[in-house]
Amino acid sequence: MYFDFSKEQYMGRDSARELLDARLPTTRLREMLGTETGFDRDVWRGLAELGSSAVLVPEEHGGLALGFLDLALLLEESGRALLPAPIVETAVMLPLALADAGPRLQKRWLPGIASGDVVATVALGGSEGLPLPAGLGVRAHREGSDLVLDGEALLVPFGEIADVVLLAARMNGSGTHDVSLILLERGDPGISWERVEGLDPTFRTSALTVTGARVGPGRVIGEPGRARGTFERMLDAARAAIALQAVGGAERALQLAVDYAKVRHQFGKPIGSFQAIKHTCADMLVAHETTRSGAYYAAWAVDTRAPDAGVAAAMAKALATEMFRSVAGHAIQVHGGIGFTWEHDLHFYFKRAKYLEFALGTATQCREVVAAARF
Amino acid sequence: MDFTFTPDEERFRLELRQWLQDNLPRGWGAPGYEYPKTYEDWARVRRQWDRTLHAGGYAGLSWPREYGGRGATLIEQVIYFEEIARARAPEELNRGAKLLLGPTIIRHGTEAQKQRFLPRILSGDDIWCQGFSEPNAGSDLASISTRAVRDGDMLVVNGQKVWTSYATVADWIFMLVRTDPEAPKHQGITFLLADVRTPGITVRPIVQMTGSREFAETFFDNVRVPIANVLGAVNEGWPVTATALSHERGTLAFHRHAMIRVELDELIDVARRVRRGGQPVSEEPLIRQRLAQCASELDMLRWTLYRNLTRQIQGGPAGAEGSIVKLYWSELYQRITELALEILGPASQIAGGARAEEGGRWQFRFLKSRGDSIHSGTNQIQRNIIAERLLGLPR
Repeated sequence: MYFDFSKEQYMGRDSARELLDARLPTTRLREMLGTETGFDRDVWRGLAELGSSAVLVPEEHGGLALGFLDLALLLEESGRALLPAPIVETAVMLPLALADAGPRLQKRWLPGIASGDVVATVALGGSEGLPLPAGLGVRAHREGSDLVLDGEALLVPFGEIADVVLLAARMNGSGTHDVSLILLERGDPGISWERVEGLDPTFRTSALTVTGARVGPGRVIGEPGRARGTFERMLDAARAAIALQAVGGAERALQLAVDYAKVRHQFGKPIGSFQAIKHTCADMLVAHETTRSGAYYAAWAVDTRAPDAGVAAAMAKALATEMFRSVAGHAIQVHGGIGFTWEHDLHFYFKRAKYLEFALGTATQCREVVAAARF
Repeated sequence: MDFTFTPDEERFRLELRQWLQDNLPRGWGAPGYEYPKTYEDWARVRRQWDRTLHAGGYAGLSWPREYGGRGATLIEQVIYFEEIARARAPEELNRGAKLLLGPTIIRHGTEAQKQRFLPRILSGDDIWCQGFSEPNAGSDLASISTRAVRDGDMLVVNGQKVWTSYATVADWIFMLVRTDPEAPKHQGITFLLADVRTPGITVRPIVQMTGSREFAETFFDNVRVPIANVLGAVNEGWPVTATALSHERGTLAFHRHAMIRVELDELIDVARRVRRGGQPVSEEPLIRQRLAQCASELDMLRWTLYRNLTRQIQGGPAGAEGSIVKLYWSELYQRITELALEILGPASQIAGGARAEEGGRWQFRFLKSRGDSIHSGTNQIQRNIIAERLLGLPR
């Protein structure tokens, strides 16, 4: 029984924090609001040099062949820095999905992912959203040995700059549980992107429309309609990853609130000496520490493929993202008027929290995963 | 990171599980078992359970072997709490003495005090109650006003304690008295051990909001206690108190977690069994959400306890992290018992008899849970501790 990370894992965290503190301060995030892509390739490459997207890639494809736990703290740091990049998609979801793909697909994408040359994303939910996989927005049907795809996926992270899109589609006319996983490439005929003005301006999303796009069997992971297992494993890991990002973001928001409460004076005292503020901050820490424990456990469960990995990831995702939103909201409250301004950074945390809350299943849907497993 | 137990730890668990099965009264924990009805009957069962545990070698688990304990590791203590909760074993009547007082005597006591008190704590021959709170000293514990004045080799005690749980059945009381009213309030306090049968001590039961008579108020009228029964030194009782209180927030939370887990599992069974509108209550979407939320929070508690455990095993302090856990479980438990009554429906309002659901025990838990955010430091005090010690906010 040892519930902590290793020295090496903490060293990896420190390197990531150092890099992100130096290269991605919130002043840089603000500059990026006005750029075409909202994406910083230098930061992306810097993270890749730390091994971010190589951790889960096998050695023969240039990866580090490590486990999810070796990535967990880096993901937490990416949340703390509000990293504007599809790191969960590229570093977690694609390597897990490609683990079940044929050698040609692996060879085509894994080396680029490991090196940081490839930016990948994942397209899932349609306008109904969820639950997954029933809410997948794109449908596939067979024509000969090809699959023909129609439909749309909303809120695809950084879709317009992605080199490869992992699309999850439902098979037409079949059960809601039949999933196909398909790799689309930039420039494929029949696909189009539309930038979506998101609630979170530091995290770009696009809507993907697929109209009669035709892909051969070489683009499909496993068998058409039979990728449910791969899909679930990928989803579990991604939910754990988002929980970790939420924990990281909330840590920063809590720190901002506590720091401010120590220096802001009213009635001749620091506001942090008033119990109304003190108890609010205490509640924020309690929520943060407890869900952090759950997110770390989920990381372990995913890493070891424990039987309860899906439930652990779902509950961590539900509670950590709601916690992040709540902590960011309280941090705004502790700041008073300045907290409500565009000029202050807190709204970026609040908005990222809301994005994470919706990504890959809302808290309500994740709780239903827990309910279905437990009773 | 590693969530497996060693073979030795697994063996400890299985032996204990078997021992519990062999030593609990027949049918204990099974549905329909007739548990004691009154507090007094419960106290008898619990006192006997202390003796049984002692005979089985499970008393004083955390104590060093030289003092009659088992010298168990922290992980074995955790396993113990998980297993006794799983078996629904009765709570030890002398738990306070074993968890708080014993380790405090080991740290601060004289050799004579150790010889005299420690064996009888473990055997259950001396049941102890805790005389800390007073009518005007609750959260502000250091403001106690019960006085003790020296007279030769005796201290003469006058004053009143309150919320002294188990005082009506206890043999001894460990208590705080003020021996120097002129000194700053933390410096004039003495930690004293007194025989409850000493002339001048009067114990009056207080009925709790649950109807149980577990509480008491305890009056001291010229009570003469030998100086030899001071733990630590006269006027130096506050650090001794700090030792005792640090044990209060230690591994005990593992037991509460494990007990709540047993009860939540019961509640899930109830929700699947009770039907409303033609379907099990567990199928109602809002109930499902709340139940899943409670189950998730209980897991957050579990993993937080295990993270703290690792920190302690690595030599870190138990410290203020205990306040996080106390705050979290007490409020979670209140939400769970509230949800339980909603799941049970109107019959949850009936306390006993044939129409009561589940023998009225959820109603009892619902009421009892209100005490959990008050005892051992109210949740407001816990929030102060968290804010000041963990976040560094100004006092």
